[in-house]
Amino acid sequence: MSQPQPACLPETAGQAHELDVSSFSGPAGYAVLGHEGRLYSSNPQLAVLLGDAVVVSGRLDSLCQNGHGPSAAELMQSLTGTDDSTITLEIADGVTRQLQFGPLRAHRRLLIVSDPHHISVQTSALEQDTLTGLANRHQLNEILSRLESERAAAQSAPTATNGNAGNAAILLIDIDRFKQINDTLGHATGDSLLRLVTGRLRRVTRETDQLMRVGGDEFLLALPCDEEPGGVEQLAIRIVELISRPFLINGQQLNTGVSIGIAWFDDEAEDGATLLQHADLALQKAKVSGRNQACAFQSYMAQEALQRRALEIDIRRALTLQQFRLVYQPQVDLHTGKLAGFEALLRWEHPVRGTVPPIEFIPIAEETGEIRRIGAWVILEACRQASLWPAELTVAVNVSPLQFDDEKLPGHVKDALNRSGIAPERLEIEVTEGLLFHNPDAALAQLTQLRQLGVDIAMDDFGTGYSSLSHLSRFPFTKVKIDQSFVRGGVDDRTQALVTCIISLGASLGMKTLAEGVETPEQYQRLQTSGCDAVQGYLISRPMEAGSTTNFVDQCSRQIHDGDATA
Amino acid sequence: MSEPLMRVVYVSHNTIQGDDDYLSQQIEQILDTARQLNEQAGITGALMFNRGLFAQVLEGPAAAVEETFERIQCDPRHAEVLMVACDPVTARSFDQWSMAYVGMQADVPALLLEIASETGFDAERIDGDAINNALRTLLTDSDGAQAAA
Repeated sequence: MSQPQPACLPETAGQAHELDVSSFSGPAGYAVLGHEGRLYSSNPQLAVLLGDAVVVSGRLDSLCQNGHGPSAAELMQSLTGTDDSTITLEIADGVTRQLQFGPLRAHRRLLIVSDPHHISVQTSALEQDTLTGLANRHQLNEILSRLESERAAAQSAPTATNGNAGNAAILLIDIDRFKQINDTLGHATGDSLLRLVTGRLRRVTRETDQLMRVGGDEFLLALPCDEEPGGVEQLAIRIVELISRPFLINGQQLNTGVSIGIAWFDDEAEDGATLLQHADLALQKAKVSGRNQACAFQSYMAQEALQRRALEIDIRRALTLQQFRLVYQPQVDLHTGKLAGFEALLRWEHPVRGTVPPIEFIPIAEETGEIRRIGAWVILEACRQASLWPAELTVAVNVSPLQFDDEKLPGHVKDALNRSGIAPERLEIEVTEGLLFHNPDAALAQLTQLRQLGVDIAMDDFGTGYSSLSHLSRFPFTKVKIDQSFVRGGVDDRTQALVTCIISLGASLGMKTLAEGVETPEQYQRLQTSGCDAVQGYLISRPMEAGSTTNFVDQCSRQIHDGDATA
Repeated sequence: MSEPLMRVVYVSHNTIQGDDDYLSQQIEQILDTARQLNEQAGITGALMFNRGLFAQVLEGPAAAVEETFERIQCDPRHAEVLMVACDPVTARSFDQWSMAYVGMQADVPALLLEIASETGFDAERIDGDAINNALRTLLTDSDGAQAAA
């Protein structure tokens, strides 16, 4: 708290919003006093720390009446003074209380009573982390509510704040890739690292700061007040640098880093819970920005989180509200020039958001797990639609790696085949290579089951990402889809060589090849000459509504009769 | 010698700001502390310093080396610490020095000069053994070094 200037404030200025401390929680006792020692408000902890007499009599000078109390003169000085002052009071043998007096508006004084032994007394075994000796999660709420109370008290005092300076702040500090360290080097090494990190953090913290371990690899540093603008950020940067220095554990060098989220008590965070939430949002930002850095909370992060939350809720409702639909992009067989089938593509039409591109909602649906429900519906709906087409046409459905997690995919597929009545070989499940990294064993088992059902399996987007040849040979693919980046635009000799290579690779592994993104007759021609089996792209058609597919099928069969599939 | 020995070599960037006098004073302080604590912990080693960089060798029982290294790590007078060697060893290179010192004026071999010149400092390329050997040669062959008390 900076120096107060009570003289500048009119006598009655504060009366309209007199500070009421009765709801203040935490380990400290609070009271608002008049200059004569009268109690205007106090919290329950005050009676706990000073005894009932003070509260019952409604006067602080009742303290002077027992033998241990301060002298009346000493008390009067603290009550009538305009500055901060502190009295240490022995209320019983060996039991002391610290009384801090500070100025409030309108000749009121704020009293904060604390037990100087509080921390050591209160940090019981339950509240202390045995590994690091730090306070743990059990103390978090208490520490946050103490900050909150102190902030409320500070706000009532007539002090000018300069930006964030003077506001309490917290740093949420997360060790980068700690799980990986634990997994690869063992828990003993992980524990040593936690102890060493704690040691380094202690080096940069002041006595008034509170350092605690709030999660496996997460620390929280509570800073009662930030004296100078930028001080907290500087501290965070220092911590990042300090932890990024090598550790030496059991004769081995270990490098790690921390990501830090910073949040202040300010107009946007007036309670501990919000403060913690803000720090967490800032921490997430620090992590997604590449880790090993500190990030301060900014209001847009809360906005983003809210929007994201709203989007999550909307996605959850979309299926029930029938906002999803499938559109279909035709695929043409290059050997016959005939329509071979369609790829089903998911679209989300939201009444307010409009058409939301899959790239915006699929990742969120994957994170929330909603993708499983959506994915099951897509398979069912695509098969139902295919049952309306001639029996030789196929339907390709994209499946997310996450849909393999609960091992229900083969069941969903079987159900969709049964309900639609289409032959299994008309359904093609498209997966991306990401699946094979995500959970290779589960993927292999379920893809094999799908193959046994008679369903085809295509590897999507081949040529981008890892394009691992061992994946191609290990997993039961029946088709390779060549990514459109190899097809679109002017294709140079090297790209063409790659395409030719993928086609012959597919052929020698007994897999069909389909090229995506075909836009011009030249591209069509080139792929046909190269021996590619099928194509899709704007040259043939953009994705179309389900209702238009039957017409398109009819049109195609007429064109075949006319001998031109690509016109 | 029963306890297994370990040697750590690291280089780091100097963060001490100030004129030569101040620098010398700080280095003096670093060496004083190091020599005192190292002797108690059974650590020997060498420190090389120029305006831009520190290079240090620490050797001794593994636990003591780890503790000493961690203490040095927390020192705000350097940053961007890069460990270039960290190995078990059978013998000490600097058994006579609790912390030998090679300063800016010393007649340092080409390798150390290269390390010490901030431009062209390619940390990934630095060989810990080479630093250790160069410092050792320098300290044992010349009288340019100041042996620890």
